[in-house]
Amino acid sequence: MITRRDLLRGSVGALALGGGLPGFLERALAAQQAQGETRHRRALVVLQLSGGNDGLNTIVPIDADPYYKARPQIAIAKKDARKIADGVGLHPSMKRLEALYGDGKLAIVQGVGYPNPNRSHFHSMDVWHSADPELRDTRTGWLGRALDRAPAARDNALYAVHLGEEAPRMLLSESQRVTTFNSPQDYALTLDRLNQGDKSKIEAAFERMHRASATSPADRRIDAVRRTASQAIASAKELRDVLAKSTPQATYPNSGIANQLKLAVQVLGTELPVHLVSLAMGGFDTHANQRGSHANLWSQIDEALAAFLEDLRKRERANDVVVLVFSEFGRRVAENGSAGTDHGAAAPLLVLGDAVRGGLYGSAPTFEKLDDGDLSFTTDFRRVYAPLLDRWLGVAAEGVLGASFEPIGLFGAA
Amino acid sequence: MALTPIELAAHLRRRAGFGASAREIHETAELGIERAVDELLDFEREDADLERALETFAGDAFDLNNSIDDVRAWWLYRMIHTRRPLREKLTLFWHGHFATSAQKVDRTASMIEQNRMLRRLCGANFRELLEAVAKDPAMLVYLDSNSNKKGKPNENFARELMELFSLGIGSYTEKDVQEAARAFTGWHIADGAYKFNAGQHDGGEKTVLGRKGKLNGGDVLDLVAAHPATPTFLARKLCRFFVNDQPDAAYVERVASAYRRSGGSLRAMVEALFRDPAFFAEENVRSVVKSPVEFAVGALKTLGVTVPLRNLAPSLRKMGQNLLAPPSVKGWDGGDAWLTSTSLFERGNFAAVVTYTRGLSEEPRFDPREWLAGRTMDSIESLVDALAAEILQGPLTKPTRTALVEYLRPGEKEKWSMEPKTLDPKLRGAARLLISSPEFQLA
Repeated sequence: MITRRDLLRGSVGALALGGGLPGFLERALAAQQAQGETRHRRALVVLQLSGGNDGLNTIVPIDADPYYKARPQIAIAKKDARKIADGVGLHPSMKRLEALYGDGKLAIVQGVGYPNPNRSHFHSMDVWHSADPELRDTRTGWLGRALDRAPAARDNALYAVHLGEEAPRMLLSESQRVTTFNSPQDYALTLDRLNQGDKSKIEAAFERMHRASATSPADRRIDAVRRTASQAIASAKELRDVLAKSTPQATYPNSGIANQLKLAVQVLGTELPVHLVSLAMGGFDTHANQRGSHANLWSQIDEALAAFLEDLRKRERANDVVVLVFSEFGRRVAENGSAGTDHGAAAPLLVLGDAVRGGLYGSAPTFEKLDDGDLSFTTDFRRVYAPLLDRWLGVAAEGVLGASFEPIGLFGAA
Repeated sequence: MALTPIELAAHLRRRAGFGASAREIHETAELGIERAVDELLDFEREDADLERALETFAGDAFDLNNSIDDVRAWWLYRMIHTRRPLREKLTLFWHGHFATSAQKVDRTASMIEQNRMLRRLCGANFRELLEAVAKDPAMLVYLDSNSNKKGKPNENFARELMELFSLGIGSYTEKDVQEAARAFTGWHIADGAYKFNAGQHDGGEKTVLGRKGKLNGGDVLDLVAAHPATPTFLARKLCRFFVNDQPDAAYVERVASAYRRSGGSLRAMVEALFRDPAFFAEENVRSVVKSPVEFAVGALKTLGVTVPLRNLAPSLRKMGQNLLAPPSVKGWDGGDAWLTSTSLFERGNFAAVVTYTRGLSEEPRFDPREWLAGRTMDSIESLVDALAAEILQGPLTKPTRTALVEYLRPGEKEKWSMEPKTLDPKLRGAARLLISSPEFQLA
């Protein structure tokens, strides 16, 4: 027998609870309405910059001589940086983000990190994902634990979605396996060119053979597979239909990150009860000749985020969506011998959205007290997670983080 | 309703291996189920032909030292072509049990070294396997052994050793974990190999699982291997993997007692599992959802088809089983957890790859015309039944049968024809549907 817990574990799990016709959206929406949050369903989008983004060349310390001395080849010249405050400039690629900062909707938290930084990508990523520098819990992630505690995640297999192939560690939870997809087409049968004429017949047969039916007791197990499968097929169809109607309201550039963010808005712009969207972008492990590649990465992010926000505004959803941009670590202060940078420690992170109180938070790390050539952190990363949990997702941060952290005032005074 | 010899043979070859073609199943049934079990249990003997073949071309075909995707393809090649399928199946079992991810290990050579070690010791004494794992370079990296130092123990390995590798939750205390971690201090890795770092080893007195003394890592391994909870924990996991994801407790105990009787022989456990009459009980046939690897390799073996192996691993990743990169140290949950919407469609799409692969090369492929040759089909129904016998090797339920008959029934303007040229694409479609069917998803 399939237990309720079994069902919840699968990504289609909650869809199966009604037992009758699929209509999972109706049920999820009903649950959502009961909680009175249909109109202003808040969502958090987490964008991971994989590889270790060079924080110093992103939020540039334009008045710091040690910065320029340590990076004769790759430092961002003061005249090129986009100055946003005394001694602080943005990378020249961040044109639209500069405007967003000017509008007070971009928060930059400086010097973020954790005690005893580890320079391994995997280890450090694990710290950020589990929200525990000591990695005591090896099975869940901070957002997975938030999901376990969020009332809106109950009976809702779409509370969190990962746009990609495999859900990241931060979304691992006790109660659900998070839904992942690259594109709505992942939720469909593909047809071989030989069988194009058969498309509708193949689909119909696939649906028919999975249709739940009252058969002999000997078929009980197969019927259990059928039930799950037919609900998956129905929900996938609903998902595809909903997303197909949700066409972009802004012009997106042609890049991987833009496509992902476009899909994120397609999801968030509908009534789908999605509260968490995770996505990742690679290429930040800039060990060599990083000038061009790093500039290019940030132009892509800059353009894609601008389109994303415009799209959300046109759909009147911009007040309900907050984006967190993080990376596993920053890079070393000094450039290496190949005009790149090696793995470092503390770095700035970004939080943005119309609901965010923009500005500079935390203090920039000093160059006087380097820790083995790395910047020492001034703000624990969990101080950023705390308000996102408490104030944004409405999940008690202390339970998720295992301790109390003084929240950064991203959403103004409590 | 008793199972037919064909169904029994197919069950055995799905569980003790990755499935087989209808012809091979027929041969297994002819051989007699007991002899077939004997043959499969001869899993520790090397498959010399496979090793020779891999030696001859592996160097050119796979970049085993640098590409983790090539290591995956190399392993999948073994699963598909081996004559000792149980050996590869057990290697897969131990990979999930001692889950280690290439994403953290980040050294391809260590991952393949671990894979070889698991294969070599898949039927060894458990104590021997445990020590090899505790000193395995990939595992040492994965569970942070180098940060386990005298005065500053890191509990990672000690905890997983007790919780996931041997005893299971409830049979040890937090104190046991802390003290065991001290015993493993200094079990480090240097230059990609195990190295005992005597200067970092805490030689002091500890108490682990009720035993007091100046215990070292080896002593702790002795203790967990001899602990009464270990045989049952392992037996249950083996039964969940090979028999039924909700295994019968008495069956589990019979497998566990093989461990106790033999002083920890894994081979003895595997024998007990496959020789148990309950293994062939009807309730254990088609009783558990196939893992993506079982599904995909099984589909290829059932139709005797090969596809480019480098494309296989990414497809498995989409289905939820990224070989050599399990989601966490506890491996894959298995069972019903494999059934997600994305994975279901990916399975249906992989079925298309398997059945539509055309004869562009000399590689074996599914050829409906060849399959049709020499068969007489007097109706769509008989065609469906014959194809189902080929692919499912067991009963076809009514809804699936109806769906297939409807699929093959010609539309109003079409004409039904048994002519191979016309039938070819339709038969591929039907085969694809059978591989996507609920029946085929169950092992």
